[in-house]
Amino acid sequence: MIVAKGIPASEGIAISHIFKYYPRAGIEVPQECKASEKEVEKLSKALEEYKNYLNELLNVVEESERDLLQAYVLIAETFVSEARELVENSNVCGELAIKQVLDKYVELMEQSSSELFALRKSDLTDIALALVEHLSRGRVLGDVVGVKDRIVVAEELTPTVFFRIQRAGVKGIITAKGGITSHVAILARTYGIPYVILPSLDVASIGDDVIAIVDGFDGKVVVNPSNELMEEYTKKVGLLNELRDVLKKYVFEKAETLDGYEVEVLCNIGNVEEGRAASTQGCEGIGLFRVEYLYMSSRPPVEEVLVNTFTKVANFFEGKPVVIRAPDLGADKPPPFISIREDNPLLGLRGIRFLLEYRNEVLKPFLRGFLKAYAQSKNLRLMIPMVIKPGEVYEFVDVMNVVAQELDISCVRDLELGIMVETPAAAVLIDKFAKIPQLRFVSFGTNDLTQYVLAVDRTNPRLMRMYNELEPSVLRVIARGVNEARKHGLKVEICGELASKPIAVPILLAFGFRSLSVNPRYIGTIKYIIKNTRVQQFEQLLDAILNADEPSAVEELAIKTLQGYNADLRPLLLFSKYRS
Amino acid sequence: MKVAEIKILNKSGLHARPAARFVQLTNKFKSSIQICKSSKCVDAKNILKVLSLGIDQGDIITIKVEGSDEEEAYKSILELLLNVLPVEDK
Repeated sequence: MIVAKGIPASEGIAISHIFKYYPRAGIEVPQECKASEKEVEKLSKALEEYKNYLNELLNVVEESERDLLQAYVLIAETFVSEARELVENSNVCGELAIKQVLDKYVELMEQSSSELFALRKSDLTDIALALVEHLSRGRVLGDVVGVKDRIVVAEELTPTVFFRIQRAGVKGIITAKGGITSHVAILARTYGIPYVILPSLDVASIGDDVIAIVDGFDGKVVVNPSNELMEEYTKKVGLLNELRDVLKKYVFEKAETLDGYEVEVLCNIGNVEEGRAASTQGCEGIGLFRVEYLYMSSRPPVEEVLVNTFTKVANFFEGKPVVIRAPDLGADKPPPFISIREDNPLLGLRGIRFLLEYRNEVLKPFLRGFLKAYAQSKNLRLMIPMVIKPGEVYEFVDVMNVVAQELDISCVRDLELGIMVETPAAAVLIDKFAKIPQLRFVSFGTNDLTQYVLAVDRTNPRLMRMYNELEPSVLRVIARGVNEARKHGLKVEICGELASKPIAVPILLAFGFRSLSVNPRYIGTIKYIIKNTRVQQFEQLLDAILNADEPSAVEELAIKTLQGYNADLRPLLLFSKYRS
Repeated sequence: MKVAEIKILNKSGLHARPAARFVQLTNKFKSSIQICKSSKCVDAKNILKVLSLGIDQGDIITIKVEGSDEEEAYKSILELLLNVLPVEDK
């Protein structure tokens, strides 16, 4: 049995045999590449055949996906019309002509400012390859016969291949390359096909026909599962069929507990495209926008990019909060443009420390971009990462005020500023932070908080079993912090992964959280749990929870309480045991 | 020649799907049609060139139409960009 953890790209669970799909390699240009008399005619014929093939797909795909295929038709037409000119003018064969046109446009696309959502290189290559195949062989390769009811494993998939395997009855998908905002991931979600992206995947090393499990909830892939896992997952599939529609419905509902407490459910995002998607998935705002990705190149982002990025996401959520976290660089995300050597980066120059150290190179330009965006979009908020004492916030505010003055932006007074509570130091000093006039909110970042409270490196596989946010020590730190914050009039949010764990949600509500920022994928499940929670029952349980010996005891207490008033526990069962 | 400067309102900008709609429309007309962003102008009937401008929500673009059916083309294009797409793609 092999178990691997990847990125969940589309929810659902599939158990089946594997079907390996090998995409076509690059464009093959014949050695003898001269235009024949009929080269132009051949090109037109290849285009016609490819269009017939796309039109066939057009008739069967859902309405919302037709425009994507129409784009393919239009692109193929452009390819062929330009290739025709090349054939006529420079006498090359059609294959080379198409390759040259492809190269030209791939370069153009790469220069374009929005590389995330535009048709990607893989889409263009897919179209060019198909045209060349029609040209050379008169048909499209890449056999999908036998895909029915199987799990497709591939290096990468393109939308046209997706449509073909979807029509052929594919059950689940695993690819090495891709992203959760790629066309294929969007399509997989639309069609409800479980999909996990597994960057460590070596397609060749997996046997054809072996049994595998794709778990699109936890992002897990199991090859040759044990009998025990097979049984567990077979049960989950049954449950999922019962719950699928229910969970979908909950995505767009307001989250109110059984005893009438309203809870705000925000989302965490890591780039603009995730924000765009989140705004249509029932998110009531953004509780954490991680912007580090903007800094992962050879120089820091220019002001215009920052302003654009923040403004765009703010516009997706007009009138709703959007919390931008100042970049948390250093630690596991050292920026390529500054070299830092540290023996212990997790305890090193990161977050606010990094920003204050590189205030001219990074902090000031960031604040210029942020404040310019804020001047137009008042729903933006700002959060400072990795603070350990109020002095750091004061210093940050000083820099911000200088920048605001330079830009002549006076509304900085109204800005909602917050800190991320992710160090034990910040958690125990909340009463002191509350005295900072600018500070309006705190947001618990439970991933780092857990690792710092427990002194357990969360990336160390040998300590996996020790890293658990439900450790009573961690819960005590959080509970106490929430209490202090509320007592001193600060708004309290939580944006760590703990808020996306269904079993933890009732406990967090009992602590006093009324705003959770979760992974958009779990929004239906989280709202479902909230609507099944009686906060007051859990408040009575707090003492027992904070005095438990083990995380498993906390979990049991929570489940017993939910059972006590006959709450619907089914969504909990979709997720693997608390830590696995 | 008819010229309009407009702000793109629909959520996905002129990316794959909306760009396909746009180019299908421009190709219905005989007039020559250009689309420009930050002073870079391209043939609005070529989807790849339109995509290469990377037009997103909030961007200001210019549409230039010239030819025998420019009136109708101009009207239809503005209708698509300002009224139809923003409703379909929120």
